[in-house]
Amino acid sequence: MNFLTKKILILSLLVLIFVVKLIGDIILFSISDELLKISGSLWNYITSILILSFSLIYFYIESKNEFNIKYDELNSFFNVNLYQTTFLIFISFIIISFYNNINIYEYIKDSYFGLIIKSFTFLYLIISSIIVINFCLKTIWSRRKKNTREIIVVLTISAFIVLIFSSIEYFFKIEHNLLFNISSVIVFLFYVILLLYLPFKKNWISFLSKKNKTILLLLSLINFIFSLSIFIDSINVESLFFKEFNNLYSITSTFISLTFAFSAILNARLFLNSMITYPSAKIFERKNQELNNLTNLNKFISDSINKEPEFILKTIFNLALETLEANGGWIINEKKEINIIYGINKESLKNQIIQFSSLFENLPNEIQIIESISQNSLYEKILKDINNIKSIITIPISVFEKTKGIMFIFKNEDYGIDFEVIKIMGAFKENIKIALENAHLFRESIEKERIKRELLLAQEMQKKLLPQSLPKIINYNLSVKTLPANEVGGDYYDIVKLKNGKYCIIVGDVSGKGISAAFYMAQLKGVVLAKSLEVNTGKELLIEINKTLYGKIDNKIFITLSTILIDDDNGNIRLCRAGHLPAIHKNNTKIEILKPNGIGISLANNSIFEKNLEEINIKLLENSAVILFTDGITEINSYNNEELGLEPIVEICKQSNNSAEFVDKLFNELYKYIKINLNHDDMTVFALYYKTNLN
Amino acid sequence: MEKSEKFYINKREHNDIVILELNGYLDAHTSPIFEKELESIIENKIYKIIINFKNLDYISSAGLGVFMGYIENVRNNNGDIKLTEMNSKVFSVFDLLGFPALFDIDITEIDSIKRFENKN
Repeated sequence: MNFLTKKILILSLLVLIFVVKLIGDIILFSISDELLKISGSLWNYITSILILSFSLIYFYIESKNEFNIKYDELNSFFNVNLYQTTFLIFISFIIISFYNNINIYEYIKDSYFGLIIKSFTFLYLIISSIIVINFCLKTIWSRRKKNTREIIVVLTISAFIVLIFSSIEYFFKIEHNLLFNISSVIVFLFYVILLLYLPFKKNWISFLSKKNKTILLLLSLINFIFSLSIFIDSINVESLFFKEFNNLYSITSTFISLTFAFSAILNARLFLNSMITYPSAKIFERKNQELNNLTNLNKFISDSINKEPEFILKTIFNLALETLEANGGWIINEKKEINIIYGINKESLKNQIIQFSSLFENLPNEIQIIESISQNSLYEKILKDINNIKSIITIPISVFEKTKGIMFIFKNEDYGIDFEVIKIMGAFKENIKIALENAHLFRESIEKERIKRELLLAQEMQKKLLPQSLPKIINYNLSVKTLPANEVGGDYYDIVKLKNGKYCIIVGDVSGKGISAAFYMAQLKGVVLAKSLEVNTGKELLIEINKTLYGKIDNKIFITLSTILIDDDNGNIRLCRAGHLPAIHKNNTKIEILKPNGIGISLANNSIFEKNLEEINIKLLENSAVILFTDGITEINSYNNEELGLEPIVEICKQSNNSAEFVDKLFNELYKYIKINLNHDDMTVFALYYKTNLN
Repeated sequence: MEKSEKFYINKREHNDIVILELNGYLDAHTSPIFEKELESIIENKIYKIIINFKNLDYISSAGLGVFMGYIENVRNNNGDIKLTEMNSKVFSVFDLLGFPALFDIDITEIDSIKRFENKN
């Protein structure tokens, strides 16, 4: 059975019982009181219990899903129901007062009309008191503490005991038994004491705004007064209202007493608590506001990481103005410019403001408060035309240990800025620093990411400038490997076909490493591509390269190149060296270091270069090899912090029978040293073995 | 261990010739010091310069670049930069690049001085 259906069912039953009771009461009234007094009492008792029970059940169901209220809704909920409760209590009080007026009482006492009116009003009172008790319980339950639940259970039990006492009294007419009276009073007192003790949280009262606190103060007072009156009337045997009430509703009046006792005591406690915390309402509100502002500030800090510094400063400035409830202010930056200003609208006053601001430039990096400008004749003099600045607070803005500016905030009244705001403004100062620093670091990291992507792209592009694979040349076994120091490097190798169709191997090195070396390497590749089809030997190629580049590149940059021209299939090759490292020639077990004469590229003009460039012929025997490499290999530091030198390369060459084997072994060795070297240069090795039996 | 260690220059004069004694390590980190010195000498219109390498332990390509940067200007003013008293390691660096074909590299300082004087 769903929720709505349950409610409708109970409501219908309630209405049914009420109608039945009304009819029954009318019948009883018309017959005679004396005759059916006993059965009348039973009828009275049963019907009122039923009405009471069903009403309770209805409100129990109604409130079941409302009983645990979320904290945020609490205050709005509270105000609405508080008004409702006050209204109901007030109406009940009016009704009871009306009835207690002798004239009105006489009018409705013995008539059918009176009976009907009374039935409806009594029902109203019962419903109202159920709503009131519901409100009281909700208020307490939503602000419960550790023992609240247990106390409420005990309260309910004692309320039941009081009702039982009441029933006993009603049926057995025990009106003057002392023991009985004392017992029932004791239980009732116990009930009252529990209500006074009933624990619930009260600090929320302090946190109400001044307006809400005033409302609470007034309404709880009204509720207390009327609840107390109703309660007193309900236990007053002379009460005209309750005499009539008991005639129709027997012990239900006990329920009414219990309810309004609860309401009176709860409202008294709420009233006292609001009264006690009332004077500090303003301060509390201010502190609460400060806290809210700080929370907003912190939230802004984390949201502002991708915002511009100007925006961050402006937002925090506005927040600071709001927090201090200030009349205006400005921010002056390290360049003595004022881009953020509020509350001063004359451009002409800017000079004075700048003059005033410069007084604080060299002060320690702390917040300063000037309580009253008039106390300092210098300040007063400078600011005399700006008559709405009376008290000022200055907040230095520092980012990464450097002062980037000062924030000035002013008020129109002397002594308008308390020293106690230093603490919260300190928080602002810290947060400005954090926000600006974070935004800066974020921008930097974005930039770094971008640069990194660019470098990786450059790396891809540079790889394409090198041959993707080495051609298969009869009787020659070629292998090459290069490792730039960074994403891009200055080492170069190539294998090109010359005009006569012969292959020429080139290995070279641009001085330095990184991007600038890479640019020169790209330029070199272009020249090689262009000139290789115009020449027939490595020497001619080098001469052309030097011709093209001499005077065209920065004279602090060196390009060194070596070439090996493969003359024929029989192991005849020619070696040329333009300033580059010597080549290693392995002939069986004999190792030769070949260093033909030659100057680095673009250091000398064409005639000097050509005159000094030596080309040597080599006849390779079976399994002989020539190795070209760059200085990144020989200059890497080995374990004893000395340069690696030629020896290791020579050794590995001796132990290797083909170029791939040599290159792999060499790099395996090199990787050991790369691990321990923080910086190393670009590394390249090109191995050429003469092997006739590989095909 | 980076080779960017100490570098300093002792300056001497012999008549109208300036002699710079290089000490320590000349590489990318320390070459600006050398550059500044050459710069100021040339600004004072002194174009006869001898570089003495006897106390220089190490030179890198950045150090070599400094020479190339100023030699043209100096020679256009009828002067020269002459190099002398290199140890074998330093000499091999110059030699590899072919500097002996571009610069006068002498074994003793006297030889370099004599070259200047003979020219006159």
